[in-house]
Amino acid sequence: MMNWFIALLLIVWVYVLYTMKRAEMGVWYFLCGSVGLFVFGMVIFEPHIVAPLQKAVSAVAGILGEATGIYDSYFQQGILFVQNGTESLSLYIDFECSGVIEMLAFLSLLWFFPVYELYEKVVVSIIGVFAIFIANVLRIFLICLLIYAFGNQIYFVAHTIIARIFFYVCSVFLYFYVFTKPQIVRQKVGAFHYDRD
Amino acid sequence: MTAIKEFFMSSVMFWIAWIIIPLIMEVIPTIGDFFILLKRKFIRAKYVKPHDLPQISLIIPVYNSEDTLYECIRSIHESEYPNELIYIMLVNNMTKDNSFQVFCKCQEEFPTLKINWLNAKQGKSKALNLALFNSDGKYIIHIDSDGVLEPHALYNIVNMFENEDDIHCVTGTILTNPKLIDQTKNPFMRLFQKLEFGEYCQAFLAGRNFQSELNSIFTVSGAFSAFRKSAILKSQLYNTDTVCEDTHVTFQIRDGMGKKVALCPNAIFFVDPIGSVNQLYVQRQRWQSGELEVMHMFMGKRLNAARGFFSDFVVRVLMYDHTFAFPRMIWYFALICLAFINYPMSLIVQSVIFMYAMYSFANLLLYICIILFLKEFKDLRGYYARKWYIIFLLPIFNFIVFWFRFAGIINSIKGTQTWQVRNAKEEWQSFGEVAEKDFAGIGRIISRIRDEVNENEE
Repeated sequence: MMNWFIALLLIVWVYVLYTMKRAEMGVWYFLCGSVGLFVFGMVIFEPHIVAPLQKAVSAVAGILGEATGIYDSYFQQGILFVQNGTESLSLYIDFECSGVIEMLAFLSLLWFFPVYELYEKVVVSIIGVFAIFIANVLRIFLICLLIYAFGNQIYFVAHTIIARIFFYVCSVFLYFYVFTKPQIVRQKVGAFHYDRD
Repeated sequence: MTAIKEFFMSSVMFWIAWIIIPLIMEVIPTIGDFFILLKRKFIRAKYVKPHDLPQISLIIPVYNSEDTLYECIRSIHESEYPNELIYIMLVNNMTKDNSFQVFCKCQEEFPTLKINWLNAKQGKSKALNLALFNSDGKYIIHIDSDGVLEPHALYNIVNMFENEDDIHCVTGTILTNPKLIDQTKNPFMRLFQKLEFGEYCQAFLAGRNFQSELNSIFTVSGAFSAFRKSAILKSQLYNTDTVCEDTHVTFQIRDGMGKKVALCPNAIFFVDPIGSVNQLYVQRQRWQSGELEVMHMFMGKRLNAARGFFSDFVVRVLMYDHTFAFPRMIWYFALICLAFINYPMSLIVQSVIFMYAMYSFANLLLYICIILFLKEFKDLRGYYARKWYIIFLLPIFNFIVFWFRFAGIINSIKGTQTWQVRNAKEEWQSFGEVAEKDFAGIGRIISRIRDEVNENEE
C-alpha cells in the first residue's frame, strides 16, 4: 500500500517537474526538483544506503584510529571504541553520523542546479560525495581525538559543537566551490534590457 | 536535582545542535555590530559648521515620473540647503508620460531653483552618465524621482563631506515613507509595509552604518547617493550592462580607486513602500541577480573561500548571500523530514522557537541602535519606536525575503536579464496554462468516448 502511494507521488512529482520545466519556472523547478529528490531519496534510498555507509565510515575512520592508536574500530557493527586511561567510550555510527543526509542534500541541490552540464554533474557528484565522506570521517576522528585527550566528559561538547562546526566549515568549502564560484564565474552580464520580452 | 540537570543538559545540547550554526553566523555577529554601532553613535568627532556652503549638482533620472516628480522637486525646494546653490538636472530617460509638463510647472512654481531638462537614451546608467558630464559644483548627488528628501538631508550630506576629507562617496539613508504606509487600506499589506520599513531601518541605520565604520559598504543606494565630483569623474562612470549600476560604481570607488565610502545616517530619503508581495518578489530578485553580476565583473576567478572569508568582506557577503543559502534551504525541508523519521517533534518545535527567540533578540539590539540614530528626527523616531512589535515579526519577513532572494540566485543563471522579471503569480499562471493544454487532450478523448457511448445507446 505504502509503495503504491510512493509510486503515485513519484509520478505526480515527475509530471509537476516536467510542467514547470516547460513553463520556464526557474526557481520553482529548482525547489520542487531538489526538495523532491531529497525527500524521495530519504524514503527510497536512505534505508539501503545507511548500513553500508556506516560500515564504510567506521572502517575508514578505523584506519585513522589504528594508525594513531587513539581508538579501535569494529566496523562490522559500526562501533568505535575509545580508551582514555581508566575510562572508555564506545561510539555507534548511526544514520546521523553516517553522513547520508548531507550526501543526499548535496546531490539533490546539485542535480537541479542550472549552472552545470550533465557530464559535469556526474563528475561533481562523485567528487562531492567523496569529499563529504572524508569530511565525515575526519569529524568522527576529531570527536575520538578529543575524548582520548580530555576524557568522556568532553563527549557532548565535542560531538554537538566542535565536530559540528568542523563539518559545517568543510561543507561551506564544498558548497562554495561547487555552487557559488561556478555561478559567479559563469554569470552572464550584458544581456540586460528594460523590456520584458 | 541531578535528573533535572541531566534533562536540562540533554535538551540544551539538542537545541545547541540545531542552533549553533545560525548562532555563530548571524546572532553573535549582530551582538558585535551592536557595540560597534554604539561606539559610532557616542564616540565620534563633532562636525564644524562650514563657513560657505558649496554649489551642488542634483541629478534626477526621469522615466514616467509625472505622479511623483513634483513632490520630489518640492522636497528639494523646501530643503534646508540654499536653493541658489542647487543645480537640478532632470535627465529624461525616454519617458512616455507628461513628466516634461511637471518640469515646466516646477520651473514656474520654484523660481529660486535652477532646473534643467536633458534628453538621454534609454537606461538609467546612460541618463546618469550624460548628467555627470554636464554637472557642476563640488558635489554630485543622485536621487530617484519617486521619493522625497527629508529637509535636512542635503545639508547633512554636504556637511559630512566638508568635515571628512577622506570620504569620497556617501550613501544616504533610504526609508519607506511612513505617511504612505499609514494610508494603505489593506491591514495585511499595511503590516507588511511596516515590516519593510523596519527592514530598511535595519539595512541602513544598522547594516550600512556598521559597514561604514569598516569601509565595507557593499552598495550605495541608487535612490540617494552623493560623490565628490573629483572622485566620480575619475571613475569609469555608471556601467550600462548590469541592473545594479549603483553596486558597480561602489566597487569602482572603494576597490578600484581605494577611496572611502560611507553612510550619512542623518541624510534621509523617503521612497514609496512596496505595493504588493509580488512586487517585492520581483524587486528582491533584481537586487540579488545584480549583486551576482557585479561580483562576476569584479571578483571573477579571484574567489578564494579560505583566504577570502577572513580577509575580504566581499567574499563574506557572497558566502552569506549565496553559499549559505543552499544548505539553509535544504535544511528547512530536512527538518520536516526528520520529524517523520524518528526525531521527537516536541524537540524540533522547541529548537525552532529557541532559534526564533535568538533572532528576535538580535532584532531588539538593532532596534535600540536605530532609536539612538533617529534621535534628531523626533516624529520618525516616535513612529519607529511605536512599531516595537516588528522585533518579533521581522524574522518572518526576513524568512520570506530569503526565498525571494533565493529565487534571484537561481533565476539569474538563465542569462537574459530584464528589469521586470515575471512575478510569482504570472509564473503559476503559465504553469496552469501548460497543464491545461495537457489535460485538454485527455478531456477531448473522454468527451469523444462519451459521444461514442451516447450514440451507441441511441
